Amino acid sequence: MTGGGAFFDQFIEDYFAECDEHLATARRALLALEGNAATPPAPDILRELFRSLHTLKGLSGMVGDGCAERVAHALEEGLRSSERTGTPLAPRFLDAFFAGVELLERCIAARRAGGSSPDPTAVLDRLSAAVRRESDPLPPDVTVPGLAPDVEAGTADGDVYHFEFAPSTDLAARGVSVDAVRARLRALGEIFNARPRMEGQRLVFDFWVSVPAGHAPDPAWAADGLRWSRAQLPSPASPASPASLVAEPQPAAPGSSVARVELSRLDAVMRLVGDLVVSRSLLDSLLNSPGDLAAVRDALDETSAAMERQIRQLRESVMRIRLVPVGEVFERLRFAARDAIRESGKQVALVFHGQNTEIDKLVVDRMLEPLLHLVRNAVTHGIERPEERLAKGKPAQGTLTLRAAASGDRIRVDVEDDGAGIDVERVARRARAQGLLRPGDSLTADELLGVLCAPGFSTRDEADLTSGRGVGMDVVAAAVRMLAGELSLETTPGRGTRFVIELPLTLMILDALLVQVGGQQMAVPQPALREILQLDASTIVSFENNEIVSYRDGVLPVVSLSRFFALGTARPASVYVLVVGSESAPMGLLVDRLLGLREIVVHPVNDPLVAVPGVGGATELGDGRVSLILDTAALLRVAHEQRVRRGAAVPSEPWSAAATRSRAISPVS
Amino acid sequence: MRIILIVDDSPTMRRMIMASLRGLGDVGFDQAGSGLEAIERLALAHVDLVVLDLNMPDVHGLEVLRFVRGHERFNALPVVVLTTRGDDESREAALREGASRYLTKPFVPLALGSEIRELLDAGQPS
Amino acid sequence: MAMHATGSDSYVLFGLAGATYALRSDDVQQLEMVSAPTPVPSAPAFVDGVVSVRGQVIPAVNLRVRFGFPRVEHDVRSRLVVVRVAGRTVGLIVDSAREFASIPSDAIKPLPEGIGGLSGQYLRGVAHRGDRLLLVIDLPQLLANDAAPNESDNVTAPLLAATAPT
Repeated sequence: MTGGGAFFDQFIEDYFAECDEHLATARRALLALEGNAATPPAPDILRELFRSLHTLKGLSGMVGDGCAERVAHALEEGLRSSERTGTPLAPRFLDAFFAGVELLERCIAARRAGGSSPDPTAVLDRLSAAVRRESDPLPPDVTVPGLAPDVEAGTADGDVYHFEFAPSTDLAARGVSVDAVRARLRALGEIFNARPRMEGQRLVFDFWVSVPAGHAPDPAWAADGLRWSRAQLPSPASPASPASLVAEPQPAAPGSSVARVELSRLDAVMRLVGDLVVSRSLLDSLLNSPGDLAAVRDALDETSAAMERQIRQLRESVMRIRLVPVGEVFERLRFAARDAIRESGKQVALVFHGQNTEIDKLVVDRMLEPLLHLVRNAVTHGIERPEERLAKGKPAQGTLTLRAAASGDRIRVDVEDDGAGIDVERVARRARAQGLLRPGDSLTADELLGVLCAPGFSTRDEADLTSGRGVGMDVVAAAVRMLAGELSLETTPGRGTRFVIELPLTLMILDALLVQVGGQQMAVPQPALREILQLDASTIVSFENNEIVSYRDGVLPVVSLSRFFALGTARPASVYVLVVGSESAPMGLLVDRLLGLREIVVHPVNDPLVAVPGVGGATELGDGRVSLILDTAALLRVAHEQRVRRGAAVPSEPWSAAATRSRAISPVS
Repeated sequence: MRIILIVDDSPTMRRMIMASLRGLGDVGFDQAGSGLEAIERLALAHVDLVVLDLNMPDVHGLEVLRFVRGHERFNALPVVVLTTRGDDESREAALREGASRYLTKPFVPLALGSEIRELLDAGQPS
Repeated sequence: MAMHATGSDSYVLFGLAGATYALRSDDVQQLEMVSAPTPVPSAPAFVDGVVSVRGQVIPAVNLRVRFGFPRVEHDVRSRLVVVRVAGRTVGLIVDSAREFASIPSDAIKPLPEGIGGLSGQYLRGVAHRGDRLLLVIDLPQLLANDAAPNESDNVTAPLLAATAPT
């Protein structure tokens, strides 16, 4: 099974994006199957699961991810054989399946990170062993421990309508295609059958829809090629045809074709579109230049590369625009929490509130791991074993509640358990042992969270390994801080614990180049960068109290950031010059090292005590420390004033014509 | 110019298929993400060849094939089934329903291209 | 924030260079452990830098330096007292901060005559509590960003001596 190899590498980002969707579907389906494990698996859920795995298999094969392909194939086969038996799924089989899907996630994540694929053998063996035993009869009163069953959406009673849709080119041109019609009908009720048929030369689609009481089709639809009537159910499909003209799978979450957008992101997108327009017209003029195209070959190549970069940035920008419902994160948490719950042997029900609260996609991506840690913590440390709970007069099953709500310009996420509460004395003992608390001092409520989030602090006993996994409370606190958020904690002995995370609704996000200046890390907004040069320090010429370097056909004034900020360290032998400013008046900023590109969240720095020219804000880079963001415009202004004051001769010729080629930034990686 | 209708519920897969076939030169593409959409496109637009996935959310590819073969208007249309299933069972079923070719994913772009080139050339002049 | 003409206010007490200071609880947002601030070039010398608290990046004022005391390394007891006044949020680095006290407003006596100088400028007055002396801070004065610290002008010691309970 060989794919096209490197040919399909250009689609790798699309692949990852689609994988995310299909994995989410698979997780949802698996959880639904587990929640109803006492009954035979619902065919439409099985089908949805099957299709996600099937597509994942196909795509993985195409991009050459052999590991993912194998695992998806094994899962698909396993599912097919279980479909045949028609009996409730055995816990052993479900377990193996969960492990399989997690392994699949890891394969894809490994490919994404460029690491080596995990070894699938153990999980695949487990899966095939479980599949072989699927035909074993199940003991009569099997209950699945751990997760409480999902509350099922009740099927409303109402009317069944038969819709007929006759497509036409006019309707299609207006956007009324069978897909659009299907979406409308899905919003109205449940489509349980759909078929095409020919009336002579004309194509007609039949839909049978179960519409809940109190709802009715919009009369305006008649203008869109739709006819309908209250219906008789269709005759069952003839036995000869495969059972494939089936009920439409209902999307788990109501799909909306409208995306909520953070307005400032649109500005970024517009800028990128502007850049693309410039590149495009440059391309045009190059292509139309007189003479041999070979002569402008280099310029063409460069423009093409620039456009590719701009297109990629545009796509990333657009993806960043999405506000997504926090329920998506909650579902992933449910899936991941399953492990912790099973291993702990406790009974925990997960309850969600406010799943439709929308948050920034970046926040979702960055909060998944921290929330996961809090959830695992609650299961491992918070909620007591069933016997203990009963002895305390609590129900045997513990409840872990995740709650999201928007209020003004903040979002609040609660992770609350009804467990034992935090043992403050135990934390205090541990804190004293680790030197975080003086012996004899008691731990105040204010200090509790600070101690729990201190790097390296952990109340993990030797035997308890589940909530480790490399994420401690300090990582949770850091993630929240990086998002300009706030973490707080309430706990009552015997009753439970609640972590509250407050996050801003809107985040100012910037692409920045991280640099090292005199031992400090700083961030330079990428849009401000025109070019980056690497030079020997010896090529810098001191000239009338200024420093310049030769650049293109002229000179470039440079400013040493470590001198500007009085960081006073010696200059390394090799330096980097960030060219900023305008085409006609560029300037170079000298830095010691380049540390890479990063997407950063901007925190304003307003207090008069620290409102210093050249500092345009601050950001948290995750190591607990704040890094300053450079305000290049202010820097340019101040540096220019300094030069003028010192009476320096400012070069008066404009830059050479060579500068008219648009050169995109290519950071040294 | 010949129009090829690509039917697959994965947008990434559709893009990959189109990228693979661009080398054929005188071809244009239409797309459908589901069986019903595929049938709609066939009815509303001119299509010279269909690349058809089997496993789709609403109507299974074989049903689309059966619909296509069952109506005089589309009877002679070349349909290349391109699917992840590799077992003989579905191969037989597809060929029985009238598939012109049965190919599996993952595929090598050149191989897919040459099969489709053959079919398009054979179809001339219609 | 209305000052009660009679009655008491609640205060946060913090320790600095052997003396105990008092800040109105209403002005104190929270107490944090001290983490290394990021230096801000060209900021006044008594501003150690900026830190991140509750999602906000705020200045960290080293009170020892502000009052003219020598710097010390912070230890496990050091605290960042985050205060909020007139729309500004600022952190104050102190040696320790664990106590709360209620101080009747009439217990706060003005500074004795002759104790002028720099540190006196930041105090509203002094209060006795048992045999302890509490130096009550004037927060808006403390946060005014004009003065440079005057390391030679350490007046707290004479202040302590002059105001010892008789």
